[in-house]
Amino acid sequence: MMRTLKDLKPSETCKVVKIHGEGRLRRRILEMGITKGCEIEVVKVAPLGDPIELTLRGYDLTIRKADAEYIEVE
Amino acid sequence: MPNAVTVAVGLVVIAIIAFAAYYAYKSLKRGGCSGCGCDVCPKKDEHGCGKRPEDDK
Amino acid sequence: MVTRIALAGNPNSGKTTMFNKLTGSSQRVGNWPGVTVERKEGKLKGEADTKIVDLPGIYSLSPYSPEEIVSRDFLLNSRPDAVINIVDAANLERNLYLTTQILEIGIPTVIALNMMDVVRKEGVEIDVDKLSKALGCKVVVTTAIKGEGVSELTEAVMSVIGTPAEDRLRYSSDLEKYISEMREAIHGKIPAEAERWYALKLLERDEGAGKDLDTDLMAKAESIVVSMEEGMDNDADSIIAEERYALIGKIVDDSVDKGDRKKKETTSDRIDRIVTDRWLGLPIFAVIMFGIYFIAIETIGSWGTDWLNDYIGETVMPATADWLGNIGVSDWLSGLIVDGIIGGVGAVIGFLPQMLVLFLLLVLLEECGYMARVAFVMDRVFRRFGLSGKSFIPVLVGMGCGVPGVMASRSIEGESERRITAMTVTFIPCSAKLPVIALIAGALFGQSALVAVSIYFLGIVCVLMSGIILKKWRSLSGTPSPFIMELPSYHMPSAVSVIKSTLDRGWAFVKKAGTFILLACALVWFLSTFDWGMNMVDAGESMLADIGRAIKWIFVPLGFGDDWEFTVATITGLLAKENVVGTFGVLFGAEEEGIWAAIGTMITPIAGYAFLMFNMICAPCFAAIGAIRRELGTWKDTGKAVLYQCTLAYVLALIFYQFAYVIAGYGVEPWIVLAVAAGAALIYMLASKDPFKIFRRIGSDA
Repeated sequence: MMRTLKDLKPSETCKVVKIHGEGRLRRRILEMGITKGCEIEVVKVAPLGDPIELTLRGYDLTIRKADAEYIEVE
Repeated sequence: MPNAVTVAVGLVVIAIIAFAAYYAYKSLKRGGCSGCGCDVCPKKDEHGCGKRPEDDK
Repeated sequence: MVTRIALAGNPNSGKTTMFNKLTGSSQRVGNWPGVTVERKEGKLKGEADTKIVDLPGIYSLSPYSPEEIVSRDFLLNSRPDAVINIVDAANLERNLYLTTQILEIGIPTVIALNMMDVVRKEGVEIDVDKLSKALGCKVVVTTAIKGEGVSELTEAVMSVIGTPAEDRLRYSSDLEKYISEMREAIHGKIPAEAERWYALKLLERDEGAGKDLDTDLMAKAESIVVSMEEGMDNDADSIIAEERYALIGKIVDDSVDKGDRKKKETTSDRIDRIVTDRWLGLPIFAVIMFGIYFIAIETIGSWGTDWLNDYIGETVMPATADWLGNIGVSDWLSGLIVDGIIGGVGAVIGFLPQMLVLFLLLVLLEECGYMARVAFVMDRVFRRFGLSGKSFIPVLVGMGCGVPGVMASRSIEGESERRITAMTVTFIPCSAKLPVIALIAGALFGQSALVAVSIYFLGIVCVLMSGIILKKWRSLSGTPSPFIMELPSYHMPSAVSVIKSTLDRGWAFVKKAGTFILLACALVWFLSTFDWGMNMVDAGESMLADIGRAIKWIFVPLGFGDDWEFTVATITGLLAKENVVGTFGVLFGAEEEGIWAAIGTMITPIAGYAFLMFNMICAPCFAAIGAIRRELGTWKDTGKAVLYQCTLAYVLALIFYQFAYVIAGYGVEPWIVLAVAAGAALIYMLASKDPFKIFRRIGSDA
């Protein structure tokens, strides 16, 4: 089974393999710097369990779990 | 016939109301802005409303 | 000839602060992505005939969000003489992603490497010369917030006008091959300077880039894209984004010395760990919200307001009346000045202290960086109701004034979430509605704090409920948009800008009271003092009373249709909500307690509360309707939005009043039938999958 960003727990780190999905969501993910080989740390989960907070390329980003599912990682 | 003081004070009041009306008219003309404090306004310094520059054309 | 310089950069890169420094003006600064929702212009300080155009903060020149479209259209079609690209040095990689695209457009560019002070503190050194050489354009180090480097920046940008940035960015040889191929194909069809930009945008299948090209050419372009995808074994958009970030990575590695690479936990990280903590996040949010309400509305703000109201009612009004009497002014003119103007405007101005406190707290919240966290914490809740976590930012801003609240909705990416937010933000009581709430609470509920609290909750409930209902309206439905948002670092707001911003908003409120409210009060005084034959009469026989009586039947089912005064106040409230209070001030010719006493004898508390409900939820003031129209685009949609607001207000007030009437033991009014029907319709709207089908069948274009 494909491992995605959504499966990570807080303070785990991963490397991006591929961006799935299409259109605007996919474009936005790429533009924010989530590209192949980029290292991402999951910092925390929001109080209500969604969205999650990430650190990548030296800055913090928040993304919904449903959108994080399109990011394949290793 | 009203007395002189009444006429004088009346004129001042009319002037104030006329100014308020002028301001309100100007503000309405530029799209209903009442100067509510919308600092997001792109041309705040020029006319204090939320009109977009492209609306000017 | 006016020289135009565009200011472009990522959200939160300090662009607005830089704009203010460059032009000497004072635009609002906020620490959440998307403060500048439209473009703003200002004169460059110290240079004749030079304008600075502040573009909305963007991450890329894609054609997706309204901000991106505004910026992209301006850079491509209006072609400014030069671009200042603000780059946040603390966040270099992601900021340079936009820079690579700006440089490819072929406009003379200077980079302002901003927030260098923050970077140095972390022990990172950036070799500016190397960076400048790698990018092929001038780089100036700035610290906008302190005004450092601003004159150097001005000098640099004036010197590059006429000399486009050097075309020095080169991607992998594989990609460059396809870029050349694409450039050849489109050569002569688009402006030569931007050829490289268009070639790259076409290669990533950008939806906007090809719209001016003919179909043959587009087919040719598509074939090049396909061959690139096959040749490089990846999707087109991934290829371009990866290549850009790879190039940026190389440039950053060459010119940045990260010093001690271990990332230390900054103060901002520590604050964030607590504020958005899994368990503490929601309680902290609740405490902050309650704190704002408590400080501005229950304690400090209301002490100031009580004092000012008393001063106006007990000192200014009698003293003015005495003085006018002594110098021999006729009674009717004295009536106009004291009861009409001072009574009406004074009833509104009295709330200035409360508003200043509220504005101050909101400004602090906006500038420190908490807004983005609110979106993070609340997204789950709002999404359930068809909105986005970002919808809460307009809601918070709207507590100050609905107009910037509506405009703040522009930073929401999803079209349907954005429109629904713009239509519903004004349900939240803005500062202008506070006097109305205070009036009803004072007159009928012994100044109970519960009145204000319940109205805030009512506002939130209406926003969420409308999310569910409007999402089903066909033109507003759509797949949920992505929620990907930067969480900016916290920073200490600067005292000067906080005070300035607070006073600006306070001053605007005074201006409104001195013009719109004054005019409305004078008109109300005139209409309520004369009859149709221009004879001075008691208010009960005046023109205003006749007008009110002609339409007051509408409000009979809501409990406040028996007295024309309430109908008239509701109408004047459309101009500005404070007018509701101003109108009562004129009609009862009295200071606060006098108005309370008069209202207390006229209607029951439940009718008063229904009156309040209707006035809070129905169409907002003209200014806010204008703002909604700008967000929705057409008067037709705006009309529908206003109709929706008024209907919802009527329905809720009707249901409340009729049921409260029964519960309070007054008996049963026949209107209860209407209330039950309205309640059923509301539940149907909330529960049914497609409640608007019936309208379409009638032939509506919904």
